[in-house]
Amino acid sequence: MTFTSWQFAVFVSGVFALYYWPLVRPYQVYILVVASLFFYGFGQPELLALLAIAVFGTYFFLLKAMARRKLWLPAGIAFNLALLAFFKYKLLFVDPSSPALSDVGAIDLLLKLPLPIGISFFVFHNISLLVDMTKRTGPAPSQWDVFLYIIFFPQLVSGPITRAENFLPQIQPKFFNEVPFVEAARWIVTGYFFKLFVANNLNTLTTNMDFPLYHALRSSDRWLCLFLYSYQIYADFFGYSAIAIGLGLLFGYRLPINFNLPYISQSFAEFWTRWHISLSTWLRTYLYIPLGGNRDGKGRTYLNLMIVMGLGGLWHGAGLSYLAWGLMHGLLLVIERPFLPLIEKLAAIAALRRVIVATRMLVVFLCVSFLWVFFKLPNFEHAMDYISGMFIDQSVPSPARIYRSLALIYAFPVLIQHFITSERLVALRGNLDPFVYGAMAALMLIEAGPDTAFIYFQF
Amino acid sequence: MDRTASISWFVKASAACAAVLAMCWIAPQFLKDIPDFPATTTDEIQSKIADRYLNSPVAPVALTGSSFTVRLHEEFFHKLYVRNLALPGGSPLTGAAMIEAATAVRPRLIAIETNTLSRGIDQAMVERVRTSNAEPARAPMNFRPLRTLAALYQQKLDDWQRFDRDDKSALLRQSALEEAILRKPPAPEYNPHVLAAVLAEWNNPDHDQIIRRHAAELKHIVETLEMQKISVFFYELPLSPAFARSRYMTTGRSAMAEAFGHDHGRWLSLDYPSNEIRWTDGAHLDERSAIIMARSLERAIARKIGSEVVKQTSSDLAR
Repeated sequence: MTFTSWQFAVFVSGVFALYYWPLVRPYQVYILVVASLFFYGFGQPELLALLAIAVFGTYFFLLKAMARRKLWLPAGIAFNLALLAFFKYKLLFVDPSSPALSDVGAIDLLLKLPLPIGISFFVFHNISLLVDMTKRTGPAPSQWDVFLYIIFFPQLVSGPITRAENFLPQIQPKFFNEVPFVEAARWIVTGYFFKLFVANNLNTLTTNMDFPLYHALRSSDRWLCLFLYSYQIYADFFGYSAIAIGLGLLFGYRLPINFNLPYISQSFAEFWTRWHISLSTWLRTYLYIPLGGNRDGKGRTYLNLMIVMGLGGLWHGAGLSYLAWGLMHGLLLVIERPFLPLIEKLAAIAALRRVIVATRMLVVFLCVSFLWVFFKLPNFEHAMDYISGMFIDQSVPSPARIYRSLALIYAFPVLIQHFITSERLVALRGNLDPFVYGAMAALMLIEAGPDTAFIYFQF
Repeated sequence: MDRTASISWFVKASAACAAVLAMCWIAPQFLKDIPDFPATTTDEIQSKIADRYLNSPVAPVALTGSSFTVRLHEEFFHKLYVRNLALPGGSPLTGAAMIEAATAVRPRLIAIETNTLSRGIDQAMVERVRTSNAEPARAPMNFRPLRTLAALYQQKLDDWQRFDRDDKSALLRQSALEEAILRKPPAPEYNPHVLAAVLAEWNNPDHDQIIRRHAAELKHIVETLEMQKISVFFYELPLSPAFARSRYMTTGRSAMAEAFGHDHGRWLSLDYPSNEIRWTDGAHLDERSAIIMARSLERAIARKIGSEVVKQTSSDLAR
């Protein structure tokens, strides 16, 4: 069941009505857990067992680690990483379409299981739970609370990755008259608008980047598609996160904001404080800082950055392209780091400020966009082939046509959002705010692009 | 925000949403010739091709095929009045089944491309055509204001692309355009690295069974069409040598022979200067080659049916 299906709308309406029924208020956590299980099992019921193993296993390790952290915390983390590694990286070694992979039926069954949707996200939730809860003193959270934290349906499939210490304290009785309906509606409408209108329509243009279709693209169109894909992946993932935040609010939970206008970043370090914030926060908290962060000298800091970004790349998928994407982001962070103080000094000169700010934004956007090619074309050779074709104007006998007018219309919301400051946007909307959201709701229905899965579902 | 303010917000938002939806519903009822943006997705393109087939004057000759035949634009056929029902990303079987389903639109001859037999019938598309028989064409209900704005702009840019068979000056312009393309030398050969990757898929044995099954299904459709007095012929568009020799193509040829026997009379014999033919990707004809092949196909069809439909125009057909 995806957020954009009518079944999901029915599902949310039903759960919402039941959830705030006063008679069942004591059972709100159970209702959300059961609803989340239904949501997850709707498409892949065979994977519910895996989810149960992950949750009960983590809870077992949590109880043990609260008594003996040194021994059981690493074991719990290893258990979750093993789950992730098995499902995410088994395809590097086995071909599930083979009739028999081993002589043991049960092993074959495991090896043939598809990649569980959202495994990368709920495994990170589990690790956060183990680390955060075992740091503090006091009783262990209840099994149902843990269950809800891990599988809360708005965030189960693609985040935002919520930290246990932020989510668990929010588990309290919820009241209908405390629901911030307008705020939730703003998030939900914005999210669906970015997914249905922007991302799905841009997808009709960027499918030309797929192999072997990109060979029919002229180099100028390859550049255009590169930027359009940048807007698409942002609109797609921002859209998902916004819907998740809105849904969370409907059920009384405030999930973390995942995006903050990433394409106006003036440095790569800033980009990672604006893009997929919950993942970068998770990586910083549970990987970069434990590795030593920037406390052990420049060389070690650079190494830590490369390790974190390389692993961040591999978290997205088992493939050279994802590793290359992560490592190149790491390299960009390492390269810019020594120059940042100098650039900041130059930017302080009033006459140069605007030029420097614009140049920095442009450089960051260009580099980030280039690296998205490795997401669009997970085959490393195809990605390199695409990039090389951007610089060599090859003869294309019958080129594909990318309509600039459509590209502009569908990319426009992303541009407006990024380049009109939020204060000015609020001032512009003024009393028109509800009308703007109403019009957005209508447009996302009328002008929705062909249905496509959320890009981050594959991770 | 207090409860009253929240309710007021939702009322205003709902009113705005309803107003925009109503405008989009009403606009097509009053405005005629709302420009439609060129289709950009496979589904949209296929639907437009089907709608055009159903709502245009009946042509005596129809082509069905896949993206290979899509390249043979109708305007490349100067002497024959041809309707090209080839579906990009689709199957020649779907086109043939759609013609069988569209009882109100009866061509006299169908030429079916046999290059793509791995794709089966798109039942949804055929059903769509079947139900359209009973219902007259309606104004589109899904008016999309922003896309229409883009379409207006695009229409101005692409004005030269509109082609009217009965417009003598348009015909002359089209001929001049084609002659200019034909005077150019053939395009350079395609990137061999790309060909190798695509060719590997064409030699994949996974398609064998499915191709044989579809050839048998095609036989069934052809028999139905012939019972309705529609002549059916086959043609295979040229491919670059490696593709022409691929397992995909050899299997297709043997499957057709199994289904239809070695009846050479069913096949349209295409004569063309093979050294002049080029492909954009080893399989799809470039524009210059498409003009050459359209003319070759036109001659082959004319040889089969004699001259009686050759000089028919849409105005003749309308009488």
